Amino acid sequence: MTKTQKRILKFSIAFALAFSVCPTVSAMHIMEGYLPPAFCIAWGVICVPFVVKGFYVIRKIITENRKAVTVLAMAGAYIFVISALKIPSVTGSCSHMTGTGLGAILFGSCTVSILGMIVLIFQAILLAHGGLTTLGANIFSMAIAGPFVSYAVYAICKKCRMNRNMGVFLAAMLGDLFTYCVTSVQLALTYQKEGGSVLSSAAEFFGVFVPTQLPLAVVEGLLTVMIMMALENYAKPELKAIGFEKSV
Amino acid sequence: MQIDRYAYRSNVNSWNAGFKVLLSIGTLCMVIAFDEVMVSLFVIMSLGAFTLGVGKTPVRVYLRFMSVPLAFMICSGIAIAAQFSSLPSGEWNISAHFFYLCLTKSGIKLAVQVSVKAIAGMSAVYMMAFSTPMHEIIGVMQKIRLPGLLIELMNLIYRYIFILFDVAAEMQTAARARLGYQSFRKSLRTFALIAGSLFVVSLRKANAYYDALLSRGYDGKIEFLTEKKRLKAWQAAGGAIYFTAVILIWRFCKR
Amino acid sequence: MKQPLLSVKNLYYSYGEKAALSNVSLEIFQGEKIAVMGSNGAGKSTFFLNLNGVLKPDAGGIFFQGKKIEKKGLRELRRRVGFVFQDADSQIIAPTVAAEISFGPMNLNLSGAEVEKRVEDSIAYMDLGDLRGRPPHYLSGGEKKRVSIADILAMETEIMIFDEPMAALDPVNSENVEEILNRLHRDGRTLLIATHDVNFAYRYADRIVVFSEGRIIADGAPVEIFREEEVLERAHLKQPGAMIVWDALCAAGIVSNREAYPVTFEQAAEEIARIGEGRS
Repeated sequence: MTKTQKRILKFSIAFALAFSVCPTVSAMHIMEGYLPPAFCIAWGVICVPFVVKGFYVIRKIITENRKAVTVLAMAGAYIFVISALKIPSVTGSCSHMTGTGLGAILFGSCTVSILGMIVLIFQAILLAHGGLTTLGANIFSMAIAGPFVSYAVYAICKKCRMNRNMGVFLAAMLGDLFTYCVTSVQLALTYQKEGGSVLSSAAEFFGVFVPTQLPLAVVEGLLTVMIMMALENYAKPELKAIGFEKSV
Repeated sequence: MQIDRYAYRSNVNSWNAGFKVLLSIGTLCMVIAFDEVMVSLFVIMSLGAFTLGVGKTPVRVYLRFMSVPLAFMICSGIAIAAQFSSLPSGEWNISAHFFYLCLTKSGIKLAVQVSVKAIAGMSAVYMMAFSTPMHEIIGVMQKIRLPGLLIELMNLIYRYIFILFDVAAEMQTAARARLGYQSFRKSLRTFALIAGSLFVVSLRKANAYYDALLSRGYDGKIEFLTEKKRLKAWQAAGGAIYFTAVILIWRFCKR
Repeated sequence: MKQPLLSVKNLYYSYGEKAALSNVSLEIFQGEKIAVMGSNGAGKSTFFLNLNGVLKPDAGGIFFQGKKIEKKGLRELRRRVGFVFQDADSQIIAPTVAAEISFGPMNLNLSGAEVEKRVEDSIAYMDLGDLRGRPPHYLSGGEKKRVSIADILAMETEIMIFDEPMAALDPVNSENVEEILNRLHRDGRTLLIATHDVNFAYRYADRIVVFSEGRIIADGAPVEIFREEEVLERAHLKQPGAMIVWDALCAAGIVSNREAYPVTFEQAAEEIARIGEGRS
């Protein structure tokens, strides 16, 4: 174990003790039936430009290099499996979206929007996470907004020559938190209280989910850093092959 | 992922996939659009009975799947029903020193209504998921002319999910055998290591799989011979009657 | 002279800097069953992928029935040479067994009826009737193997390559696979089989090709190959048990006909029993 890894571990222990982390659920997927038709359609429409852009990016990658098709499919499967994998003694049956943050850092946010969309369809049908009518809203928060923020944060940190691990941590954590802010706003827009503003409603949704989501976001950030470190250790050629250059 | 296994075993598996998808999505759309408690209750009962009675999905499994989003329902239910306020403005108020948690009758009613609607929506989707293997659902998407690249990616991703799950399960067992999950801290570390090596394995496999595709003459198109499942007249009639019933209930309750 | 079905002349291939095959030449004749041996990383799999047209050789040529396969004709090679991968999982992509088997024929642009016929034939040949509608990812290792063989069978290629077909199979399943390989040979297929199992190679193949460090270091009948100690050492191979026993019997003066090596342990046992009867 390197020094940094040790430090991160120590921090995570302290953190776990402080918050007695035991998040058992994912509260990020908006469930089937929670959005009225107008909202379902509206969120779907908002996703269209991103998804179309992502589709063209992927199609370009594949026409340039046919071999990429299995790599992309594996990446999609990887995101799905990582999000469904249980971490014994940390979570119960939670579906964490570590995969998309990691995917955004490794493959870029456009690619992840398509892969994320497919993963969300599978999750809705196979795992009862999210739903088909709320697909648009979930794609926007989890496959577009979150990865986009992760990617942007990571890029900015890289520009500022910030410590690489810090950058990965911030990217994953902020991406996660942002996903969850978007989810709150989406719910708040739908269930706006009489006399209350969207913002106050959003704050309410944010409030009820905070106890599970904030620690989860931090854990997610830590995990992503550790995964990246593990990758650096023994997957350098593979990282190079997918075009992820080593920075600083 | 077991849901797929149950789909293969379902008695309704032999029905035409497009029909089942239409039935499921159609019902789902009506539940959402009508937003009527009676419609939702009818759908929950009827489709639940269909999946369990006709499809013969085990009750235990069905209930477990339906309860997956329970936590989401409770959390957002509270948020919908309650309001944080500096004044006790609801019918029931819980004081929390700095503010009040106010529950209103209308808020609670809305929360219940939404929850029932959500469960109805899930019943509709799970009618399909418990009776139609994923690849047939993807096949239906192909029929409605979604881009080929998307279909291809979905088919491959679906196949690879199983492979990665197997690898991950093996790694986790091996890690457990070496006491990798004894504490929170060890768990996180083990998980990260597994996730890392899973990534490497998945990329290496991706290359081997591409070779295998090529060696079987892959030329940018993944196509299979699919077995045709014909739609029977009585099934179609049943579907039509079901839709009509849902609409009638809605008209009747709306008055 | 008989024309080879497939011939490889002075083939070179490298992964980046690392040379994987250097100056490999081989002639394969109709109906042969060839065992390809050599330690891990000796270049067997790379050689197969070249034969199959998945990898493009750096230099040298591959000739099918005397006709050189051009770089653009690599797809043609894939119609002629089928490759059963070691790990069935890396091959299987379809949702059901029948669909899986249809993938290859579909890529050959055959008519629907022809594809259906070939799928049916392969299912019957590999005895997969009961599994046809099942998803391959839920099958057992031995069943998956049979499916992956049926995959290639349905493409009706002249040559079939097997990369360690018995790897990770239990004894009963490996026996099944061996039986299938025998059947394929009887039906006139030309077979190339990579294997680490010296006993299998010895009793099954009528010719053995040995790879070491990207070159072919020996090519000949099993008995000859397994007598060359230097070759065995270089390729990390051992003598087959039946030969060791026979040589020991010869040395002890119990049997006289040194050349009459038994092919299987069962044959050796019979032979020894007969000698025993003669003595008593």
